[in-house]
Amino acid sequence: MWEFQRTTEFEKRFRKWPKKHSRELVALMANLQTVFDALQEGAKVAHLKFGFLRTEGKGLMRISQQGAGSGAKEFRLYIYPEEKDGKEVLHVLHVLTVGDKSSQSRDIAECHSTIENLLAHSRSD
Amino acid sequence: MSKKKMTSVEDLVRDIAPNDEFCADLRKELEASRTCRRLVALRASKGFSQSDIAERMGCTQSRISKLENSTDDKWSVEDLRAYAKAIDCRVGLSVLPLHMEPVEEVNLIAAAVERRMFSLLKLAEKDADIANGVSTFMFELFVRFGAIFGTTSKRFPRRADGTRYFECTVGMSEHEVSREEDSMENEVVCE
Repeated sequence: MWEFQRTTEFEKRFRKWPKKHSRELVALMANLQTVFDALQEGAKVAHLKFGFLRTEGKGLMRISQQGAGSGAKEFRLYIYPEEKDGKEVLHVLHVLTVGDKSSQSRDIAECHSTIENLLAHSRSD
Repeated sequence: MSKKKMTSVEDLVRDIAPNDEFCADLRKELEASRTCRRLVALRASKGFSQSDIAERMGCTQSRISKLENSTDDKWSVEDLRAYAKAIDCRVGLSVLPLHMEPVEEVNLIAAAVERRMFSLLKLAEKDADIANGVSTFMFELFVRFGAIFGTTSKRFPRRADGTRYFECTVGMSEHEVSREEDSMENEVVCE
């Protein structure tokens, strides 16, 4: 059973999202739900194949606003699916941050750092 | 990090929505593509790519992409059938009440399980080999349901004084009866 966890960075950016780009944000969330549904259905992370999904290394994935319609601005939602082994296996889909194309390289670097922290935290558990 | 357990994007963003209309727009979008999303999730869970489906359906990958990114009302019944077949599934028809409480849904599923159990019973009457297979299946099913009740009772919230509302413990034993009877009997003990 998968569950979402979100970062404070995602919360901060989401709250301040410009109203004029609401349809892109709705599309990002609908695409995220598709990924989540596929994982719940038993899809392997490595086998996730969607037109709106790209891998960015270190387990990081980005979702595009595909489906928002023509003329939509390009946005990216960054996620990290994590399978924790322990007493019981936990499946967590981390929602790391959301940004536009201009902040892409900075966002990716920050997400990689967050993933490293998550992995370090998991190892210390 | 938020520690609240969230299992849908609506849970994920409900308390941080950027404006009042956002949650309503999101719900509308999710509702509009519910069936489509289910099919795409199944496709991914089976490890198929859009190209695999296109090949099986005899169309282009871009057509599959277009279908998958559309809303349910853009799918024809033939699209549904062909896509389902391409992911080794079939389309069934369920006409259900518009709004169902979780309890009603569980009752509906329980009734469906009961109907199928009686179908298996009829099958078992036909042949000893089938009866053997069905009895093993029923045993496994009972264990599975027992595990579901066990997990639920463990996770169920407790009363203010710390006592449980209910407890469910399922013990079981499996044994082969004599070879002369040429069948296997499963025994499950409920405590």
